Amino acid sequence: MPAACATESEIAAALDCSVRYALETMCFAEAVPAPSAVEHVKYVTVAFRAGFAGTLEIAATPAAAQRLASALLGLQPGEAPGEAYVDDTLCELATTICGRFLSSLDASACLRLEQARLETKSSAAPPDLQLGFQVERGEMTVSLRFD
Amino acid sequence: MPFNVLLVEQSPVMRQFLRRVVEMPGLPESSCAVAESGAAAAREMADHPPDLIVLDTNMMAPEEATLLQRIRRDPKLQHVPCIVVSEDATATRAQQMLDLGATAYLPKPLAPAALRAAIERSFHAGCMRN
Repeated sequence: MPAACATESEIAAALDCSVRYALETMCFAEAVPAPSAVEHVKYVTVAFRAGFAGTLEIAATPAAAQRLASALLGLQPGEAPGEAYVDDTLCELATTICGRFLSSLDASACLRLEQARLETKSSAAPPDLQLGFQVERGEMTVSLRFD
Repeated sequence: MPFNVLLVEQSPVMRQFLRRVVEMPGLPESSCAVAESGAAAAREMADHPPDLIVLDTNMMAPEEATLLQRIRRDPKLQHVPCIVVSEDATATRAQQMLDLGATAYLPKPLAPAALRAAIERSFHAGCMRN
């Protein structure tokens, strides 16, 4: 936990702000805080190193993932994005949110982000911080685990 | 004759996103070429010198810096505007890329309007061919 640079509430606020800003800017989607109790299907992780190291994980229901991909691709209503595009959208959002989040905590940090990875299930390790959102009539959960 | 815009972008979904912005009405007519890596971009630039480069640094850091340096050292390409987009929103990274010769540095999340404005500035800067 990066206690030296920010409090837990500051980290949560920075992550919440980064998620909302990324979804609104790139996908024109509103993210509303919601309990993260649903079963997700798609998981993406990004390992990072800045002043501290850890992993950011995004989990999304199919409805949320598909609608976010449609918005990013500029598809018309009724058009469905291919599965590869949906996966790529989640990877892109994960790296974007991670970069925005880390940059907002320390604007002079030297960031290192690994390539986003699609996972079949969530990490077994309990998250240090987890935020749930309702997005485009689906659900998204963003979790942080610190090394 | 349309402007040649080279999009250097690893992500298929972001390639479509960038292409959509470049082809927005109101901007000069452009034809987009895409490269998935720095090496592919180097080949494309040698075959078809672009009028504008949009470089997403969603690649490993050494490659993106190398590509930008290569562009700025190439007499045929050194004046070509190069807009760098990145998930790294730190001032450190922005300054590093500007020092390497980026025309503009746009942190993600990338708003279409921000990219469009950067492209317009590049067009109006007089750096591009007539």
